Amino acid sequence: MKKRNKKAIIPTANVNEIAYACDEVLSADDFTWVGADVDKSNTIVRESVSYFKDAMHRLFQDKVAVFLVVMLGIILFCAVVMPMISPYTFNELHSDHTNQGFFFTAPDGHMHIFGTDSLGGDTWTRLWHGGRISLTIAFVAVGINCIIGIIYGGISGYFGGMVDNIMMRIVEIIGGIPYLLVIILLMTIMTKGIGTIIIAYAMVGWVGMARLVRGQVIQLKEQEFIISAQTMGAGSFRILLKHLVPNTLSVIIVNLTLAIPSAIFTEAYLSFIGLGVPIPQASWGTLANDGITVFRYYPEQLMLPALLISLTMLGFNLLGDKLRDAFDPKLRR
Amino acid sequence: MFKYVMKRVCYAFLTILLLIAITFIMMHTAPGNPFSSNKATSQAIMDAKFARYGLDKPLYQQFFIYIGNVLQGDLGTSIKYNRPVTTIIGESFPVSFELGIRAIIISIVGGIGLGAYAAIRRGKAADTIAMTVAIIGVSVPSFIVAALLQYFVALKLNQAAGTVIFPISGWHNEMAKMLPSFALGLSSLATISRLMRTSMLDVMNSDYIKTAKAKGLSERTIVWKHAMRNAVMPVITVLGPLTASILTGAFVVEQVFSVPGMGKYFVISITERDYTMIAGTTVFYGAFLIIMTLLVDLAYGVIDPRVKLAES
Amino acid sequence: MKMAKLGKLALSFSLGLTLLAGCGGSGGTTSGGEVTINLGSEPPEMNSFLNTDSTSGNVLRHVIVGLTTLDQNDEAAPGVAESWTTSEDGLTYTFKLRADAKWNNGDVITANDFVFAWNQLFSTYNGADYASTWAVMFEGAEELMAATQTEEDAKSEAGQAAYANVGWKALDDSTLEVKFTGPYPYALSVLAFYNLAPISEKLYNEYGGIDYYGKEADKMAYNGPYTVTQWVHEDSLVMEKNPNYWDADSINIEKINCRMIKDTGAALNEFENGTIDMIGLNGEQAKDYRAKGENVQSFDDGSIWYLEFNTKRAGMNNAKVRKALTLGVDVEQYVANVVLNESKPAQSFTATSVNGGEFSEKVGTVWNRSNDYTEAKKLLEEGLAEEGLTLDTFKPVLVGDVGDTGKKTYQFVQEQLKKNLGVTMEIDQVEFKTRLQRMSDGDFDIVWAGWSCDYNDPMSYLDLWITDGGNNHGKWSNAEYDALIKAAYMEKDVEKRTQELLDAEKIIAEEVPIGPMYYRQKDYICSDKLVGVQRTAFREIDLRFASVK
Repeated sequence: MKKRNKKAIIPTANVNEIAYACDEVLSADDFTWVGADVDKSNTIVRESVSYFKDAMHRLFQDKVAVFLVVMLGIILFCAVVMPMISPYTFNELHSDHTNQGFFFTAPDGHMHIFGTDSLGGDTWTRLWHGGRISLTIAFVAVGINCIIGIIYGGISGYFGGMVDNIMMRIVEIIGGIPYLLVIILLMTIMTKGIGTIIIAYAMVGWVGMARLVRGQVIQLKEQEFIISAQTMGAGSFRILLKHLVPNTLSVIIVNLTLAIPSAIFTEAYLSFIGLGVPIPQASWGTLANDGITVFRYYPEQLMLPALLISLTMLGFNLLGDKLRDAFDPKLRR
Repeated sequence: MFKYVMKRVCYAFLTILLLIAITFIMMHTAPGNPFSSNKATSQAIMDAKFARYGLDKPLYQQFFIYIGNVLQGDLGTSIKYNRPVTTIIGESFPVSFELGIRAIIISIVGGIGLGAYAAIRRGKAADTIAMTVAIIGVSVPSFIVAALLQYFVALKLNQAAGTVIFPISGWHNEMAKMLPSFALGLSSLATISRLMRTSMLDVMNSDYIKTAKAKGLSERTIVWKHAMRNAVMPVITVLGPLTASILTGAFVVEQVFSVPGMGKYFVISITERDYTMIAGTTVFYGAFLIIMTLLVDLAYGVIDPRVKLAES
Repeated sequence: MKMAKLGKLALSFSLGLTLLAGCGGSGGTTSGGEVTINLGSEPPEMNSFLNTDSTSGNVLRHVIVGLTTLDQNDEAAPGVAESWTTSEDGLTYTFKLRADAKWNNGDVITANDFVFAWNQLFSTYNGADYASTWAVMFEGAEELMAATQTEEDAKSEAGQAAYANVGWKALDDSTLEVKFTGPYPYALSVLAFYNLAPISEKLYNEYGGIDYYGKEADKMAYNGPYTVTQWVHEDSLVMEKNPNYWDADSINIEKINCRMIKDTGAALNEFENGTIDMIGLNGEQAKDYRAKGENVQSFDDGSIWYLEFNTKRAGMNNAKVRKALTLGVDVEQYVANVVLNESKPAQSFTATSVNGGEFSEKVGTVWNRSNDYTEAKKLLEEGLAEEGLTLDTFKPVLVGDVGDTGKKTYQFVQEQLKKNLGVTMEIDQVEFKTRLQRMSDGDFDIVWAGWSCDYNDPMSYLDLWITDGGNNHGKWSNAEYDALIKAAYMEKDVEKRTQELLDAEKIIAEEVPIGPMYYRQKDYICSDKLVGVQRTAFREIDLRFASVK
């Protein structure tokens, strides 16, 4: 502050000298020194844009990305709300009208929008209930993967040295195991259920995330802001959680978006080999698998769950791509 | 380089050991035993069968005996089929391998072609069509693709033509191998083409391509001699994981098309509690996957001199 | 334009692949005296004395003949034995073997081939699953099993003595004497079972013994109408007419190709493609074909499906509760909605296919099922009250596995019990092997289970529920029932025996250790050119009498 004021006074003297030299021109009295407006120079004219906000801003400028977000939002919303507001429950059977087509109206007046399945369950309700299960499995499993991966990768990367060495060797070995095999084995040991699928998937799925986070942390930990935090006496875990992890968030989010479709796929695959969610629960995977045996006769029983799986897969995959672009500093305008 | 390879081989060995241990513990924890069936068998017969397959010994003994046998190349006798596991793998693996290789060739050639084509024709109809194909490939589960292909492409085409063009199932001739390979390769094809398109776009916008254009080189030369080579690099990195996913995904396709491959044993042996078969397929698959990943990593180092393996 | 280019690209690409890998193999065409059928899966055990499964049985039926063989009416007819005499007490049979019965290599089948095979079967160390089932019938078999736990035991003095004392003896090369432990009316049909078929000791050892015999097409000796000439595991198997078979003239079809297609959709596609002549149909497929007027055929596969109750669990220990649960399921609707074919609701425990239905006719209808569930509900409430339970505290769990129709079945039963009786039943869906384990551990309330007989007699069903029976997972025990079954075992008088079995059936109807649901029918379809295929509960696939049009 002081410095700037000093500098400001010196030119004023010069101006006076010039004014005496040229009589006809403006005299020095025409000018008054108003001093620097400290407040004004300190105001922020434009809102400061954080990296994250900037990325989101760019993401939402992309029409396709907005469409994807809206589509996924609708699917999610339906999966949550539809089973609640539907007049039928997912395991309610109407044995006297099975395998009915769209907009089937029973003699007593109740209607099944998407018809009924081979046992007379309401397809609409089961479809969204299945979505709930599939999405729950995907989100929770990927979430768990993510948490384990962040903690493991963070610790390994931050502490480095011997800790890193041992932890990475473990990851290398676990990563070498064909994950599907472990999932199948786990599924036979534990009782069938949604929890089991989640645990089985999470037990082997965190390795990729751990590697990713470790790489990021190693890059970041040599940067000044970490050193200054260390100098100021922040504890290791505070640095990890408050400074390192938030900075790896972009990579994590992109990865998460891409991991969700692969979890949905794995669930469908498990359903195909008979290790899906147990009845009377349904997931998109089990519905599609049931549909495949009858698609010659009732194509909609395959097509509807398949369509929802595909839309969700597609949505998350493309959104992942868009997010990657949005977070990429190279593409910043 | 040599040191790096040795290190990787050591880890591979450790991984396989751990894999056997995990498999051993898990398969013996799974309820039921390989001999239980719908009809009760007398205890004496059960005991005799357990003794016959060495299952009457304590688990740790079985484990060490098994490790010893594996080192000698003996994977034991399948309990369900009563044939040596090595014989079964020897019969079925080449089929799966051929299926996998065909799928990989289809996905690489098709994926690179489609991706590059879409990138060059960026924003035009061809781009949209190519990417639609890619998107469908990524978003439809392979068991649905396989079943639909079998019904609409094989059966309906044959009926329309009045003769067998694509056999429905089996692995008997060239035409029979087409649809399963395609069904298996489709999702990888889609992944590769998307990757290729992005990478090709990057390259096409780079300065050296602009220079080449400015020098007046023909489009063909630019694409084939300059752009493609560099654009293909990122594709190679995903080949390792893709190979793994193709091999594990083979089960579905093999089941739908009745291909006598190994995927079936992989899954059925677990539900049947065929201990020797579970362990055998696991060891074999595990070793195969690990070696494949290693080879892909090495290949990457050879193709791209910028990558220094020892430091990674 | 661009599409055309893409098409051309794809075409040249596919041609390239064709050239790349060359050509090989043959198509699945059928011509002349050749048919192709779908076996459904790989035959897991073709060694006749170790066999237990029906897939291998379907192949063995065409390539192996025992002392007797099942004829077109499922009755025992002369096989390798040309004729036989029975002793006064009905315990000893003396079989005269045909002189023209030969192995496919030309060796004559001798009585010693039977002795060898049976010795292998009842040597415990070989681990033949059905040995204990048959051992009770043959004199000296149980003693032999006890003395041969290990190979060392078998070689010991006691073991050798047991081999010497068995009830089957080769009197000379063409005469076999067999001593049974009782006057079993089904003795001759049991002898048609593959476990009791002959094995040539010379060839058995030549092919490598238990580890190799029956594992490959050329590692097995055949004496039936066909021989297996080619066996690509998990893919296909070819049977060709056996010129050394004594009755080769009666066999019409020259060559049978068996495919092993597990996926029912793929099998149907193959059939419609004209590349397979006979396939099994699942419910939806059969229903669709019937609606289209196709010639869908069906047969009773001899299985009865039922709810098995764990009588050691609260609530399930009460016969009224068990009966109410059984009557609370609308079986007719189950068949119409889930099974989707002409399977029949069960009228008793013994399946109708036994004895050509004679026995079940005598039993009559013991289950008065109706669509009015008030009575069943009353019964349930009574039973629950007796056990100090109410509908709110009674929450049974049904343990089921992951089979194809299983999923639908459990859901249907769950819904029915809820709707008709107000019972909240939970489903615990586990893997097949896990279900078996839980059954043998008694770790269940209710299980959906099925049974099909080993031989053509009600006894093959009814002896399941004797106290401590190996298959009596529900641990139901009834002294009267035990006594009846035991008496029927040794009863020579046919009518008296039938009466005892009928009484046993009545006890089941009163005490309901299991709740019979339905007798299963299986559907199949043949192409126009394949005629005369026989499929019954005892001969699942039989092409011996079939021909090509």
